Amino acid sequence: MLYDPLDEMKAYLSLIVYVADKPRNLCRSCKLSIQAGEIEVYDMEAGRIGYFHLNCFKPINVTRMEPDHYRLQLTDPLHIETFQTWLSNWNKNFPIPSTPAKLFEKPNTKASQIQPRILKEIFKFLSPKELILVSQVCKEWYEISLNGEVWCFLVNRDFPKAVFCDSWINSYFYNYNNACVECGEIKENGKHCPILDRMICKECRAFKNRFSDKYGLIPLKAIKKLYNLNDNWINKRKLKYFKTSRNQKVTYNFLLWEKINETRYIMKGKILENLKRNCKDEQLIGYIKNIDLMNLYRQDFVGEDLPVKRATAESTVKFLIEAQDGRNYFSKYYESIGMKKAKKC
Amino acid sequence: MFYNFNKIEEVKIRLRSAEGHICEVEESAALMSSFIRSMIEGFNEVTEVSLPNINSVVIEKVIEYMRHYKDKDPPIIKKPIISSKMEENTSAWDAGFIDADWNMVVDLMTAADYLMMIPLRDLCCAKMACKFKGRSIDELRAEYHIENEFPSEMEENLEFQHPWRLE
Repeated sequence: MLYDPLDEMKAYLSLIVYVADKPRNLCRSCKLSIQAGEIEVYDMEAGRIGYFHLNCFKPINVTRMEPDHYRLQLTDPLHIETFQTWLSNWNKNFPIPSTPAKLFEKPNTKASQIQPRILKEIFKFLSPKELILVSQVCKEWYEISLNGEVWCFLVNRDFPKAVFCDSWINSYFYNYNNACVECGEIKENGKHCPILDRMICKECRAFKNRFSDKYGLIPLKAIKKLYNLNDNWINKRKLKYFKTSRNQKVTYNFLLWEKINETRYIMKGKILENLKRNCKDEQLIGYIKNIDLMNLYRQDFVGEDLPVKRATAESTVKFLIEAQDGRNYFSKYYESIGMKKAKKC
Repeated sequence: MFYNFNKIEEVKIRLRSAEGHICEVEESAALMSSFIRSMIEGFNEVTEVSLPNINSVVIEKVIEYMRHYKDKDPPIIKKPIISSKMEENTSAWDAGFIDADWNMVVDLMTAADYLMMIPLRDLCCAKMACKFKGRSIDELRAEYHIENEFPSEMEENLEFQHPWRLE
């Protein structure tokens, strides 16, 4: 059952309507005493001073009045009639919807088979961009995906030292805009990075290793030389880059490697398809399936044309073995930059 | 007398499904579910557990998972998931295990939640999350037979409310 806010309202929206026997109370709106014989309304929500004339009374909750909301203690049919006319006047503003509300009916769709409690667990596997996209699909998902519990989990997952605002969603986006991409902390020496459009702190950016230089910069000219790529490839893969003040286009190392691995993944699928059509050597197919794409250093597996042509023959095997063992990548990389570290690698 | 303790037969636990069908599991494998664990530890000499919510097909699938991870820990899936393909998120065996149709995955998920097997539930959740990842709103609505429930004004608001925060 979904949570219905109306249920809670019903509990405290109780009126008592009766005839006053003595002039006991003052009307709250017109400040005159309620005479004996007049119809008096006692609003429980307004508290001790919630006495009204029937004509002065306006409910605080501007909704349709239904028989659950009031209690009648009238006996005279004339009084009941006056109350009914007042009620119909009030309810004029809120016509009954033509179709009944679907809050309690579960539509029999594929999505409604999942319990909301489990849906929360599923949404914890998504990134915030996808969560917001998912929230616009239907009402049920909207309520669950923007729930505080899910966003509380996301904040603690992505930012180890988070700063908190009023709500969980707002605190996520405050941290998203101000914290470092890599370490997730808000630091004073952080700078706005135009390629990623987020903040980076100085230490994460300067971190360099023999094996990884994640935030090292590569000019696009060097990429074209290294991998024999055109401008077409860069536009097609939507590689993010930034124009420096000297009009040089520059990207990060890791952005390039993500794109390269994407293309390699696609290439692998193409080659396997081709092989299954043309040659039925199962050893060869099994060999190619087991290749770890992360460990390829060769430049050849990036461009789109070459390997597909070769994929019909056995020469692909030779090509792939060479590609796995070849370590020309580093030497060529350093040559292109102009450093003299080529011998060490 | 010399007792070889390794050769003592393990106690088997019988799981009764919704149809009344009975499946047998080794006790060490069944302990993976903390629901069954609490049954065994709470009442000694329990050998039969009735599961009226779960189909026999689903129970056999669960038992297959239990036997595979009897001696080792299942791999932990990273949150958020990396790609929309299951093979890149988990090990190859897990990806092959969960490669089933929609109804099977939903049934497995509810069963795992009932039996309190968190790694299996997470695996199913990741599979469902893969189906949501990288899709547009209209594709999702078409696939799950959802009509557009939002009134048109609210939908315009939704588009304006959120994207500014990320892009």
